[in-house]
Amino acid sequence: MVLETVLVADTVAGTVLTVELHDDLRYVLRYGDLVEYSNARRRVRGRSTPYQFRSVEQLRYDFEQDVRAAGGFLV
Amino acid sequence: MTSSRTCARPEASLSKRTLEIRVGPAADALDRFEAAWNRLAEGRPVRTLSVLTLPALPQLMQTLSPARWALLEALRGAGPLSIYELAKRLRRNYKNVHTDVTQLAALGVIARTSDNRVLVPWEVLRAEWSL
Repeated sequence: MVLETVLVADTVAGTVLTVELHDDLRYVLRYGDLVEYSNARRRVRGRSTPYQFRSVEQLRYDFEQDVRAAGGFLV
Repeated sequence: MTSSRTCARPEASLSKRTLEIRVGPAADALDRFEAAWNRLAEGRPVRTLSVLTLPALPQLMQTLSPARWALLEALRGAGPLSIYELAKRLRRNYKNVHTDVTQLAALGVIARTSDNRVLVPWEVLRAEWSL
């Protein structure tokens, strides 16, 4: 299992990015309270929708796009 | 170049529950996520990894200030405690201990139990950063 907690730079409130990956490929990508991707679910600003996984590269891209669109900051 | 500081002998820390503390950008964590995913998808093993990444050295020093280090040592030694009990042992102001515990818990350095006590789930904290 991989578990990473990241204090994101240049965020006033000290936003925490959480990255979690299990041996069976269950995952969580969470940016504070703004964005969370978790095993075929995507939640942005509290609104949850299904997420169709295509590839890990696409997953990362979609997550980063949603973080930026929600006003978050990833460096 | 890499500098590292470990709070236990390296040979003794290999099999212990270790939190690796690094200084670097958030993107590094997503890089490691992708790499670990690809290894797992190819059926290759991935070593269990718990990492706390901080954006720069000042945040690392702030996160593990001398007072917080003393808090972690006391909590690790005593086992699960309420924040009140912890503050009493440390002879520190409850509010300040509460603030430290809340911030360390948000970063995964401290864990909470179901009965609202707190503990340090790590045996080793290993800090590493590149110059």
